[in-house]
Amino acid sequence: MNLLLIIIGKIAAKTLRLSGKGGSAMPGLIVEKLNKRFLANNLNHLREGVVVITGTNGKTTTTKAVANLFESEGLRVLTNPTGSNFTRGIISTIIEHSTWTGRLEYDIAVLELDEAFSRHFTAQVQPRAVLILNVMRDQLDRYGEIDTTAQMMLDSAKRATEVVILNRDDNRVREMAAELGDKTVHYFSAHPTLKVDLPNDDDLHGNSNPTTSMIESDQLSPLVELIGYHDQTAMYKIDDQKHQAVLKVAGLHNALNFAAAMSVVKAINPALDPQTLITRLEQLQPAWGRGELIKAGNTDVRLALVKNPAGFRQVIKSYQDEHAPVAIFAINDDFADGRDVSWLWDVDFSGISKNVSLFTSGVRAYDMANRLRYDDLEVTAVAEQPAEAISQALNSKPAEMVIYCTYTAMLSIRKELGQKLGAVKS
Amino acid sequence: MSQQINIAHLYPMDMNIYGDSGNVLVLKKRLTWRGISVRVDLINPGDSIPSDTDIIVSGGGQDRGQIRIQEDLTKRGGELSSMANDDVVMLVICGTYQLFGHHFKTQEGEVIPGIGIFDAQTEAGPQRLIGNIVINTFVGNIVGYENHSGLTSLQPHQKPFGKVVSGAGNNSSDDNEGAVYRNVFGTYLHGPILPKNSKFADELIRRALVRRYGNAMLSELDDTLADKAAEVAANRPR
Repeated sequence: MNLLLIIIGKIAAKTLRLSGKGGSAMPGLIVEKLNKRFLANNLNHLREGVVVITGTNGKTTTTKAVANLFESEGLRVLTNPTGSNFTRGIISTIIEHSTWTGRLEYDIAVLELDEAFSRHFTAQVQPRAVLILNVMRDQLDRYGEIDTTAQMMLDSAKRATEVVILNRDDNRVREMAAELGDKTVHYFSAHPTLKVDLPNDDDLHGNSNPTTSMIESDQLSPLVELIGYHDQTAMYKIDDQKHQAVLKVAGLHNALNFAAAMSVVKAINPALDPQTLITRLEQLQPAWGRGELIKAGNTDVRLALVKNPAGFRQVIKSYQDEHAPVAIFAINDDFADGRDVSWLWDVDFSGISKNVSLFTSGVRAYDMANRLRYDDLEVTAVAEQPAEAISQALNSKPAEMVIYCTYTAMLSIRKELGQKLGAVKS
Repeated sequence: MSQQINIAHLYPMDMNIYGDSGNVLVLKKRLTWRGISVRVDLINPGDSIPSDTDIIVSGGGQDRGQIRIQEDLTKRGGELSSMANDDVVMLVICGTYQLFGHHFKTQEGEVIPGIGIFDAQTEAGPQRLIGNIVINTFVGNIVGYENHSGLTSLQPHQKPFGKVVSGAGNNSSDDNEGAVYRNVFGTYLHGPILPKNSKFADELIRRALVRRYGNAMLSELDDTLADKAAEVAANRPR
């Protein structure tokens, strides 16, 4: 039955590809209908088990890092591509990487899972390790409340057979340890001096009476701690030794994601040499749209996906410096973007210099321009069509430009950059 | 003589989900841009509301936040009611709006008492009402985004804030949205409500100025961006 499903799935995927419909979700949809135990049947065979990575922000970059670190140990790693973090995405990943004889020739799976789906997934497949990055206000129009989201992640963590890795600095994540009984729990963390730039959800909402005080964070020693960061150079403390890393992936938040990634592999294999991990992470390129650099003519365009207030604040802090005289904000409100654009008002834009030329685009271009107006920032132009926004923004031939965009806006912006300008990854 | 308006942001920690603090920012800027001084006080449980407060703003929260503030709100019930009767301007959204009614009855049947400024009560409904919403009010159409599971019903003589044009509103069975008592406005509309609905924002400011200074002269602001944003929002699918 399993082999049959894989073959059906593969044929469906091929047919769709040939018909130009692309779409990685379709084969998964078919298979899921035919066999509810498909995930367990395939993933339970992996010699080194399954590692689940969930949280509101940083899943994609962290998953890429963890997969890479395991690969450097010589493991064959099955991992899901960006954004395909629901049932169908995972099933499609399995089908695509199975042989025509139905074998999944991998040692370990490192999977990024949507918060809600992580619970559904772990009910079927018991992961060896679960990493929880953070819980932020995101997609409240889907799940209703942040505490509901936290509960979904906790339920996933409870299913871990070997170890759970938690963010020590996120109150809602740290307090999960109290619910995990005698499970082995490890932490990753950032040094207190960096926390002002890495606020958790309570910090962002002025909550001085945080979610929990049951577990004091300073009594928990992290496996990996980010102790310093400046201009893409990170300093980590691992096994009481300091290690410097000069990263290709920009942004303080990503340096913390790497601390999380190293904690996972150290938790599973404590004997690993930290320096080997650091060297490997230094080589890593940014994941799709996560601070990725693309060349459009002579302009370096940095793409920053924005999904929620915490993430939006982080990328502005990381990318909106004096090097980027032009910025586009492209905001859509489809399901994948979040239908409710209220969250733009939880982002503080007032730190942006008045010398930056600002453009807004997307379905909610006027909402965004109106938001900037209330932080006393004047928008050069509002252009709902991405093509128009890009061509106007490139008019002044800036050396660098940042495009902040929601998910579907990112898709159209990339298409424009690729088709109209022949932009290439630099 | 220069004028000043004092805004109290009630429960900014616990009742501020999804950008409701944007309402405070909008009031503050629209006053500042017109040369009127503004003081914003953050009022968390246990803090006292300054007696010279002109406008009180509060937002929606999660169940956990709502439970945390409920006791504090009950203690302030008398004070807030007399402020309401003294025509202090108030804008309460979603979770706070619910607790400005008589009570909220949870899914489990537990009754959380409110402060009864509105003659209304709320019961947990079977599913969340989520999506873009347009309502018609005394200042014209207002756009927003609703996200609530509580179903609110108004007593016959309790005035709603508006009538639903598209969306669910208080309960999706009658066409009422929100509630109004003197200068107190309760509504389910996030968005947040004020940035895209400049007329309503100015109406709150006007009432606060009239109450304090006897009259209000509001200079025109260029609201093209807000109006365009509202037009787009009104035409988005639910």
